[in-house]
Amino acid sequence: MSSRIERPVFYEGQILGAADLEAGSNYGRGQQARHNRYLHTWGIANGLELDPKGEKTADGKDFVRVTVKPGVAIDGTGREIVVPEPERLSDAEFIRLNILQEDGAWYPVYLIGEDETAPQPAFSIGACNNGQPTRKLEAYEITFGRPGDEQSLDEQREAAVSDGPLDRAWRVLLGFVQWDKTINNFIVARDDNTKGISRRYAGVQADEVNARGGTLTLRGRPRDQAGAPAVIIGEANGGELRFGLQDAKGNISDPPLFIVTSKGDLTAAGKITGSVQPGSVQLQSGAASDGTIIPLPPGITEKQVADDQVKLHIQITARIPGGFQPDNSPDWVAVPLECKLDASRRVFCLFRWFRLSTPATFQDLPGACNYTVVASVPAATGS
Amino acid sequence: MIDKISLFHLKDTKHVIGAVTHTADPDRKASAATLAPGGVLIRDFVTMPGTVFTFLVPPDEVDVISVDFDEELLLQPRRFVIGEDKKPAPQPTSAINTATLTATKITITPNAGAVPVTEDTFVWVQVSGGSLTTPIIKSIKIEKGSATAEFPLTRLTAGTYQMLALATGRLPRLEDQILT
Repeated sequence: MSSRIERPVFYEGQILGAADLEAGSNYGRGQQARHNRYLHTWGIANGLELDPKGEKTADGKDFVRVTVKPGVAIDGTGREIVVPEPERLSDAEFIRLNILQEDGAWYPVYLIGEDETAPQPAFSIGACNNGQPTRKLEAYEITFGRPGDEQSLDEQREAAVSDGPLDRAWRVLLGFVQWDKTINNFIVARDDNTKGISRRYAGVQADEVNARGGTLTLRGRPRDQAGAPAVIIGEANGGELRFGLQDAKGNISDPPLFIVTSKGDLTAAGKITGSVQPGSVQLQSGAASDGTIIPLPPGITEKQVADDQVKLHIQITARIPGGFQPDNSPDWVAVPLECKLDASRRVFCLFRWFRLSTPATFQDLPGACNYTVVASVPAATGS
Repeated sequence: MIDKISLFHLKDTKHVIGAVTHTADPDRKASAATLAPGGVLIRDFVTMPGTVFTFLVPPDEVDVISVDFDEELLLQPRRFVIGEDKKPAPQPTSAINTATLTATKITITPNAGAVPVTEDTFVWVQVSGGSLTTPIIKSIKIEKGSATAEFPLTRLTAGTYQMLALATGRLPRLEDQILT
């Protein structure tokens, strides 16, 4: 149940109780959680990789000792989860959960944030009085799920609008492991389960992103990872949008793969496909054997042709078959007998082969034609 | 310069039945429904001089494969089959032993003496002509150790029918059959 947010205020001479100080602390935590929850998407903010190290059992079988690297995550309630030290995945915890399935199954590894009461220092003030704890540990648990339950990560308990971070309410996916029940050990650890579900990183929820230095960059990987795709919206050359692969310094390759200038000029290093622009002309050419259908130019569809949105101009010529005579006899000569298309652009191409040596004879055999297709898209009816 | 060619082949028996090149998008991975929306027409003028056999293979019976260009593939595609390595290879030289059409049944026997086939053999048959308004298309797998494929038919009326029979590892067989 949501409730209005209460912010503690103080006045000179006020006697502060524990509740007042607690309210001050909770106000800040709640504000931060709501920021994390509504302006970001949950996931890993930094680190927390599964780090497998190959080892051997006493009888020589391979297994991996898996460690979670230090890092930070934000859960779906806005709770910040900090893993300050490397943390080894627990074999005992895996066995205790009793989630074992068939060999080759991928078990999700989860990080769950939780509050724990901190042990009280022996000589701290109040330690001998009522024994009330004065600290909470922002702790965590690293645990495992059944194969497949990683598909319900977006169906976890959501916090109410006014809530602060919730306790033990959310699983953050760190990766996957495989288990060998014959040696009771992990044997593989990886980021994804081979079915498209991967460890999840935190993101941003925003309807508008403004750069302050005149250049806005989106990168597929951190800027020092060469080869990752990147998009830049920048003020260079009067304003432009560039797409390309970045180098180790984070710069997009020059020339970029794709660029749009402030004048609307578009330059692409590769092919541009998609709907055909009104007033344009598309070309296709090649050769086709008897009985096949002349291909359309890229981007032109049969429906456009049928709907008369595109005009086709097709030129065909018989392709002289040269040395591919009916048999091994060298003295065959081919003469085109038929070279035409029907309304469906089907090729009818026939050659009459004459054998010049005795006994003189002839055969009619299918052949092939060369073709050129020009598809013109009228200015008023293009898609 | 053309460096790729798209070959149309029967899905089941792997016989190549046509070829096209398309210079504007030579590497395009397209289905037969896109590249040959009306199917591929097979014509034969040689088997029985004076008679033209015509069979239209619908696109859903056809696969397309893109391979390195070879002039012979373009000019004489029906001399090839697609091998297990997905590359064109010359047609085998062995023929289908018998292909028989009666009013109620098609029978295909790949080996002489009805010797069982030594590996699974796909058979694809098309019958046209006579009183048929649309061709009959049948396909079946002859299991290793069996000798014959039989396709029961709704009784055909009297007339002249053409039959094209294809079987894995065999030359195509054309039959001109008069049913009385």
